[in-house]
Amino acid sequence: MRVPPPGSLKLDRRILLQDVRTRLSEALPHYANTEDDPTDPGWLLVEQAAWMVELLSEQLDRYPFAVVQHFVHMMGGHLRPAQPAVGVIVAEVSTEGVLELEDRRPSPWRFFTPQDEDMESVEFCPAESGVPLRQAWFFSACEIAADELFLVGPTELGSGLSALSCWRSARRRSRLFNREQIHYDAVTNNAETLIEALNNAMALLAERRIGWLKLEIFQVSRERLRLVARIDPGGAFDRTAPGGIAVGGDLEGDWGMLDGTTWTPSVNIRRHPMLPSHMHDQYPLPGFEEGQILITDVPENFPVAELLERRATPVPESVVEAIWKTLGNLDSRLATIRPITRVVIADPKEEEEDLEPEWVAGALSSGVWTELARNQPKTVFHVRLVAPVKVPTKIRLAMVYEMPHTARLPDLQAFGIQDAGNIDRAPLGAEEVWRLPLPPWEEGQAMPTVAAYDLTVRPGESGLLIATTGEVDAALLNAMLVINAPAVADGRTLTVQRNTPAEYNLLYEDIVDRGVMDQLLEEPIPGGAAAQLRKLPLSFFPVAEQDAVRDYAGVQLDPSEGTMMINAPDAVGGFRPFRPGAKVRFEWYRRTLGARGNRPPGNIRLSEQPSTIEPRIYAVINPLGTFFGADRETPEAAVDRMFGPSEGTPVMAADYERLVRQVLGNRGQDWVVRCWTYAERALVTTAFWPFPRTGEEPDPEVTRVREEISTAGPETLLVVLGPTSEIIDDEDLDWARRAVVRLVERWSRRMPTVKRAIVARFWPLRLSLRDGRAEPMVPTFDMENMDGELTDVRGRPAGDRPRAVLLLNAAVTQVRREISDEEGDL
Amino acid sequence: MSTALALRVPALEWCHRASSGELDGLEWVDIRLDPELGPDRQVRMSDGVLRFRHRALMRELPRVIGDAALASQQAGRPTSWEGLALVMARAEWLVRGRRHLWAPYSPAPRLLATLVETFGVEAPLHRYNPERLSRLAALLPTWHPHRGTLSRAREVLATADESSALANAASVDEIAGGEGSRDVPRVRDEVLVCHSLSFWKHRAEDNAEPVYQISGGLVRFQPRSGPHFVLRREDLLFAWSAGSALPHQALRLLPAWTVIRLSVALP
Repeated sequence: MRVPPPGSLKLDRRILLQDVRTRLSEALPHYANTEDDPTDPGWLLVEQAAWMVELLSEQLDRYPFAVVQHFVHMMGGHLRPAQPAVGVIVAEVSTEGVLELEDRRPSPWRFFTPQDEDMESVEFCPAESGVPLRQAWFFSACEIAADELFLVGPTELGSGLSALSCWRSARRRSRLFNREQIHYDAVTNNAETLIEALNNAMALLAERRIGWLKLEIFQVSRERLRLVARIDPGGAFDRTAPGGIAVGGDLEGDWGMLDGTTWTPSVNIRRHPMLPSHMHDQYPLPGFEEGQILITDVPENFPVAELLERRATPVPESVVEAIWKTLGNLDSRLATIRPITRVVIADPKEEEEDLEPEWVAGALSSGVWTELARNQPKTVFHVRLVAPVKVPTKIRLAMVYEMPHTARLPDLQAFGIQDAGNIDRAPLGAEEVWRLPLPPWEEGQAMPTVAAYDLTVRPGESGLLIATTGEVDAALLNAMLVINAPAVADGRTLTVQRNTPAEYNLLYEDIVDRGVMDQLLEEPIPGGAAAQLRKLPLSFFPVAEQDAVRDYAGVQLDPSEGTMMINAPDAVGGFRPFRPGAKVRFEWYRRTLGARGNRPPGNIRLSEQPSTIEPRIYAVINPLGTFFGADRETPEAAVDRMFGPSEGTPVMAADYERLVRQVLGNRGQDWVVRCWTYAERALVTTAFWPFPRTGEEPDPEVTRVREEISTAGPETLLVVLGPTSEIIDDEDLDWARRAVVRLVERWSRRMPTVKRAIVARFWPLRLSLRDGRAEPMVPTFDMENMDGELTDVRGRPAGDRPRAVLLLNAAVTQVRREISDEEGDL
Repeated sequence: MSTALALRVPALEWCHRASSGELDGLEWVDIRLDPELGPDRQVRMSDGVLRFRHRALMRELPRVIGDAALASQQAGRPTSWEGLALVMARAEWLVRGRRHLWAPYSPAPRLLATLVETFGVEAPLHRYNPERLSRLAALLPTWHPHRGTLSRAREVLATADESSALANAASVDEIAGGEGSRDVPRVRDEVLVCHSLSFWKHRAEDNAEPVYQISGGLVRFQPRSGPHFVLRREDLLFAWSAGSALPHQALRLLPAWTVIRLSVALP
């Protein structure tokens, strides 16, 4: 409780008149003791003046707040209006097309959150025009890191909306290259001789003990032979573990090399339940002889085919050549043949458990793999279109990056996939349209950045590969910027009566005008998204036989009140005169629900549109929460802002306390607000009220706060709040908690040193002091040298009082001095 | 305050005297009606009494009324204009004195407690002491825009007669020998304090490992050589001895994200 403001300056007219009479009696001594003469006009005048002074002096302190507000308004000060929330949705379409907005009409596409018992429906509308919406879906997500291919996408195919968002999940090593094959196709007029030569070379190769390489010959036609080579690490043990079963103990494997290369497959020991854990992921040791590997302590009867796991990396091009060259060295008849070489990923023999990518073979044969393998790690998303496009077509894609929007975002590469699976090496055009920071999934995390791109797909292409470096959380298709600024179809027509300023009511408060958008853009909304929001048409008021009033140009609008004044200049000085008789039709304008538009992920689920419009949206969802919505400023907060200490950046705990008081406004007017910093919490002996008696269970709420604090670092504030004379109820506490958490979140975007607030209930305490003891200053959280008995407002006495220096959630707000003959609050 | 009456501000003089109870009643009002006398003045009268004159009423009246009133007063007869001047006097001076209420020289220094508390200087520091409050209020305009550094916090503490509170503390800049200097000496005698693992991870150089050593009842952990646990910009090193208490009231003058690290001695 702070020192009360100075007392009223009201002057009592009776005392005043008595003093006047005393003073005047200096000249006329008999004047002091005579009765008032009601016929004395001079005294009557003095009495009237005294009455007026009494009245005015009383009003001196109670100067009507509305007058101050109006006065401030005249000087240009005004309440900060409510600002709309902004977010991103993805849209599943049943008819493709480009979403275009018109200046004269509100958006025909409307999106809603469902209404429930706690929350009304919140409407959103598109905030950008020219959004291409296509029928497409994600098929897989991979990561290329350390030259290996990992799966980072979902484990099974989604459909509908879920296939439009691809969130990164746990990384798993791809097993795709277990099916990798190299096809050597040779055309000959003497197939028998060629088969003989190949068989001869393969027999000689077996003596070289290159166990990891398996070769097979297929006669495709009379003139066409195919040699299929594949990597099989288990084949290394064909000689040492006949039958494929280990005899136990150390196991050697044949691991020879091809001619002209030192390459051998990179393998490690598999995470097999029969193998001891210390062997998992270990590399084989060099064998006792050259061209051999050694694996120690292999369990008896272990199937050696499952012993080694190949790293998920393709066979290098040099090895593809080296295989044929080695065969040519072994049989000179093969040396003169130049087969057609092709890398193939064979179809899986049985249904795979994981979603393996389909594009790898195309990427390897086209050379795109080399591009993708640059600047690792790189995440690659595979998108399929419903059919090959016939003309150059744009596709909207958004990436969710785990980095601040101010950072340089990673480069995005996109490649088109032809219907046959071939990939064009020339990258697709990718234009960044906007980027936007949005709330994270988990509290305390940094805000991810959503960056939207328009990719241009070439004719004949039916798929896309999108590759990006950096920490990417997700990729979204058909992503669109939306804003909680639904259009109000008013429809009234105003006939101007006079050419003087006149004010008219709109149908709603919290209207969105240019000033509101400017205020919204003071938030950390980057340039691209800001440009889209600036282009959004805000209102359309056609005027008979004149140009329409667009976006309130030339008229004055109070967005908070929802009133529009015509024949008065707008905020930037533009003036639109209306003569008597002019007819202005209030066609449509936008309003907002302010902070109620900040909705959690997945809350925007409903869409509405006319039946004839294209693109036809079938379903929508917001993969991330909407944000930046704020309620209209309270009058008290406006006074604090305009007349309080300079706001600046909060630094000390007291600065945060002041900001908290501002957001609490009238509702928390007489509350205690205390912010505890890490330095105080961590290094000063602290305690929480109530102190449990011996054997008594601690208060569960206190236990929860204590646990939260125990893991909270310097970036977390403990905020304790509540009235000084009673305990804050649950509803008020929940409301205050939301307000404080939102406040700290907002500031954390500008200053990330304090990112989180833990809000706890304040307990006002009464201290009973014995006579003669020093009285502490109230409120006091400091228990050092505190004498007397503590009780809370429920009369609960302190239990076993700990030796604490500071009480974190309670303070003495009343002191009762125990006096022998009289008791009372002091 | 200057002793020369002409140098004193009449409204402030009135405020101080009124708040000290010297100006009860209306004896202090100068009710001379002479229009030549200027308004808003304090005058030592021939009887030695200090009187205050607010508005020159006669200047605002029709001349004939003013002359009549003046003549009546000079003849020793009270007039209603004198009564009006008396009635209005206190209200007039209250209004004039308002702007001085929140100044460092406020006639009601207890009011300044609200002011300095709003800016973050709490009751245990100002203790409602008028002189302290006055000095703190005078410091506010220069201190508050630059608050948050150790040196600025020390200014406030010195003003509140609490210079010793952060005398044993040193910021990274002070240890490094100047703001922006990168040459931060090693902290050798830091005392181990429980923080989260991420806290120490953010402060550990690559491969830094603690070397525990118990001495004087305190666990020290900073390695003597090699990678160590560095001081970050938000850290404040505090020379601490077992049994002494941290000046927790002074900590509130530091940024909310400050982290105290304890050491047996400052580098």
